[in-house]
Amino acid sequence: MHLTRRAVLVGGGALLAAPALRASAAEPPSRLIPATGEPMPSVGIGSWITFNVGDDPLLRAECRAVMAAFLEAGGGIVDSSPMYGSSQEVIGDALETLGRPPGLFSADKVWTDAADGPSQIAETTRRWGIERFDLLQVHNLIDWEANLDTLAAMKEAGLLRYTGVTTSHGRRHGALEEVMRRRPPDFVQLTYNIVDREAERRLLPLALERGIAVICNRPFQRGRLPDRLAGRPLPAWAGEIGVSTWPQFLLKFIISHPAVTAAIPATRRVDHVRENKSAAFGPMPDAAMRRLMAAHVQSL
Amino acid sequence: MFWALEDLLPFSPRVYWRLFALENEAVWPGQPVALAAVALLALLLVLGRRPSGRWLGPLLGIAWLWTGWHFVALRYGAVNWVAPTLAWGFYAEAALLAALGLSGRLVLRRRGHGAWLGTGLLAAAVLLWPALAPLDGRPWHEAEVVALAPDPTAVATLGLLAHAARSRWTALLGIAPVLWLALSALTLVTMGAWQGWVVLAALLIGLAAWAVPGRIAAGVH
Repeated sequence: MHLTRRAVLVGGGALLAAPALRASAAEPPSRLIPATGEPMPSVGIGSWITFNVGDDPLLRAECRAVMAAFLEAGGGIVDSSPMYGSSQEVIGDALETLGRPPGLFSADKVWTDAADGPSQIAETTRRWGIERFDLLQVHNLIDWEANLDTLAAMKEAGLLRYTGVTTSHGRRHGALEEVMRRRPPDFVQLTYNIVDREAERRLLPLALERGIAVICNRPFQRGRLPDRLAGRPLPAWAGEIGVSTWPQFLLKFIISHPAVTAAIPATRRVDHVRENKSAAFGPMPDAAMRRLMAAHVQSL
Repeated sequence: MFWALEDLLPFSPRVYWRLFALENEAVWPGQPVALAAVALLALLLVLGRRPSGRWLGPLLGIAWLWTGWHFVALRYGAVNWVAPTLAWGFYAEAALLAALGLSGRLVLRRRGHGAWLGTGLLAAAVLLWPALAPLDGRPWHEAEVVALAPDPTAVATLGLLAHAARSRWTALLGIAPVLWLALSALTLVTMGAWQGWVVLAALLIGLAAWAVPGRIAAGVH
């Protein structure tokens, strides 16, 4: 994966309000996948709801534009699931239309019991129109041991690059911790954002300890956080971390955690894609600043 | 953290409303035909005429079959994986309507307040439901048309059942529309759409129309 000129410009554009940060805008906004050391852009894109547009040609065109903007801005992880309705087909349609540009880190899930896992994965692969996935995850820990067997076998055979396990909404953290201890996958996906911080207690430290990459879903609480903060002024010190909008603020909080590899905000708007991507540029808050950020949002 | 009801909806309001635009585009000019047919039915009931259930049952069954297959299973199913399963309820209702109609068990001869409420529901299905989109500030081509979209079809069915002589068979006919309207109201309210309350109101009126004692008109179907 590489940074395009546009990605740098996008990031730089977001930083105009903080001139001292311009010099750092060229830094690759990537984190390393612990299992391999491979860089991954720290802002990906999710597809829950936003890409589930069925056969609607108008909305599919909008999704294609979002994917194009995302890939132009450096790309990274695109995450979906068989549970997300037509999202997989819409992603596949966009990739085909865009000519499968570089920069895609394809991630999907297996969302069934292990007996049906291989056929579901085959169908998922067909819908994306790709040869193999970068990452396949066990969705919400469904039949996780047997499904991980399937994914491990695929990885061994060169049909898959990384394995993962997901949860969301803070559910089943105990079970996820057990997976991470007993049979650590390459990735875990969980809900982590500036107000849902349960993962900080055990899962994120454990991921660091075990060398597991972390994907954070629901970074905006399905849009509730930006809606709640809209109209309120950013704190005066936001400029110190190169933040000029609340979505940047929220994303920067997540991706600055040392254990986090990427956040996957979902959006159907090109300008939001660019805004989200810009959060990866510039200085990242340290632990003290992160505490200040969380306390500030808590106080609003 | 907790699951909210809206977390269970896999699609956005915009996608949901656009389904009707796509459906209307696909079935044109079915809309005026469907609206005219149901409006005629309502007019006959207002005039005190009692259309025969022998042809009304199968015709309404066709509307349920079409709506279940073309809209619920195919159109809605593209964005909601539960929808194709829900469509089976529409197929069952279609079969039941056809069977009860053809066998003479669907007899429209109740009179009284319940029947008038039923006529009101039929009128609402024809006149109000297509207007919900523009009343919401959305374009006309997202209008929900009876016999082509599920909500007004279910509302019209409850309206018709309010005219039917009560029996355990006609009670069975109420199950699918009641369940669908309850689910639809929940979906719409969860989406933040005020139309959900309209659907809920129609459901309650339909239940009231069924419950209100009426008298049976003389004569046969």
